[in-house]
Amino acid sequence: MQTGIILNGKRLSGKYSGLKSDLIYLGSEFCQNLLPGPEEFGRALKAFKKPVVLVTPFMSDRLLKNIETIILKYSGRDNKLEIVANDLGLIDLVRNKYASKAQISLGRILCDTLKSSGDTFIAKYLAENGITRIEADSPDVASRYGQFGGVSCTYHIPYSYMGVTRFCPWEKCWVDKKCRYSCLGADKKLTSRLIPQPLHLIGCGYFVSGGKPAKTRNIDRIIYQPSC
Amino acid sequence: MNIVAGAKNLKEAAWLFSNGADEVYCGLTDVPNHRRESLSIRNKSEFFKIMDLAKVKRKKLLLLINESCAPDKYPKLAEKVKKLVERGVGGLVIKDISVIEYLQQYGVKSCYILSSLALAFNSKALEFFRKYDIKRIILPNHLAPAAAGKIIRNKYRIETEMFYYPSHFCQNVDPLCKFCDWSPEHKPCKLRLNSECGGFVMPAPGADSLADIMYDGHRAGVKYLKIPRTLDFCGLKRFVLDARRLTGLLEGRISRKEFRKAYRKVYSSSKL
Repeated sequence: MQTGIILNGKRLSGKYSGLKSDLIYLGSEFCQNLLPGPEEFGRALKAFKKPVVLVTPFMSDRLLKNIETIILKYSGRDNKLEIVANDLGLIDLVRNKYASKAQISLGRILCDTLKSSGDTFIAKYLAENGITRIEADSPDVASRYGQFGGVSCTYHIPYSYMGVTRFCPWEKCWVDKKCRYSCLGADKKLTSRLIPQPLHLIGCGYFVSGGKPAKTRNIDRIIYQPSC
Repeated sequence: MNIVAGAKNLKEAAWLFSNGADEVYCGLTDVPNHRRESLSIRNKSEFFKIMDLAKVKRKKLLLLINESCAPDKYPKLAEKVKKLVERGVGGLVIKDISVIEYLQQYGVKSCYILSSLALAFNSKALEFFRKYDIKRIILPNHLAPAAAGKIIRNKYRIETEMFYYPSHFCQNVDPLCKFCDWSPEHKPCKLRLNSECGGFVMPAPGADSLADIMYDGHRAGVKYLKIPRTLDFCGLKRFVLDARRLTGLLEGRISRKEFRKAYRKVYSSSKL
């Protein structure tokens, strides 16, 4: 079982460099402003000296250029860059232009979105895009995709996502406006006696505590989201 | 901008066709669509009357199929939709790629309109959906036109549509939000929650940001303005008349500052 930790792509903290994890997930599935730029990605590779997976959300056009630069700069001949993708456009771009350089893992948002489609459709979509890994944070998604042979699952702990916004709750503006990164180093626990359990606001995502990882056979990687 | 407005019955559709709507869209209770059942038409014969009225008025009736359904229901869905298209439905608003694929393989020939719920946030996503012969894309709610220039000004002649937000705006990206099912009686997006720093309310764009959406969309070339279905017919009428007034101001090349002022008046009077 591989293990890893997910870090935002903006302010790298040295406190994680000695961690005994097999790899680093760098970026965010929930906010395009927390994607690393090409230099930040390079610094992460040097600092952590272990594989770094680029983690991406659905995003507006201006972010795609940076991702293409990262793919071109940091993929090797025998070493595809692994990208967690939640954007249909990015997946199509990689398929058409960078199939030999990048390997897509289907992100949590897209896995959740596509899970109600039929088996034939999902199998075709995964095969057409060369996808052999999916990301999950709930047992039902992990087990849904466990039905497809040759597809491994990364399970995210300890949070399970409930909602995502592009009107940033920290900056109080659209994520496409200038970001001051006020969410870095902070998350909010939100409570009310009227909701079933507390929510956690991390970046632009709202989460609940997800409990223990699912026990499906396709899970071969656990990624931990540290609290701030 | 052409106005596309939602109707839940013949009376509303008739009013809309006579008061500036170029297209009317409807849901049917037996075709999966995204809102509550009370906003959809139960009676097929009423739907056919709206269809016939659209024909007489030389306007379009669109059918919503913007919700997921179990794949074993696709054959019956396709059969139903094919008959409705042959009868005269002018376009299909669809969310799921798997449903689009199925309908097209089944031979349903129509004007395919990509729902805002399909999560097409950039021009590469538009290119992906182009292979499904999409004629129009409704911009996702959480993608302001200022960030959607490449989608709006695409080279494929795929038209764009955007929502008009007179009073309500979902704080989180639809359809990714799980709060409605998780806590239906007390949705956290409607509550004042507690946090270490005090009270917390999930923020939504204010009147000026909503005005900018409409202003920027118009300037960029968005062709259709979509007015959502409402429970309240009087509210719908007000939204349409306000939308027409606002689009009239935009056609007259009003400044952003003046448009925001005009929008603010409409916004505060529209609060439901």
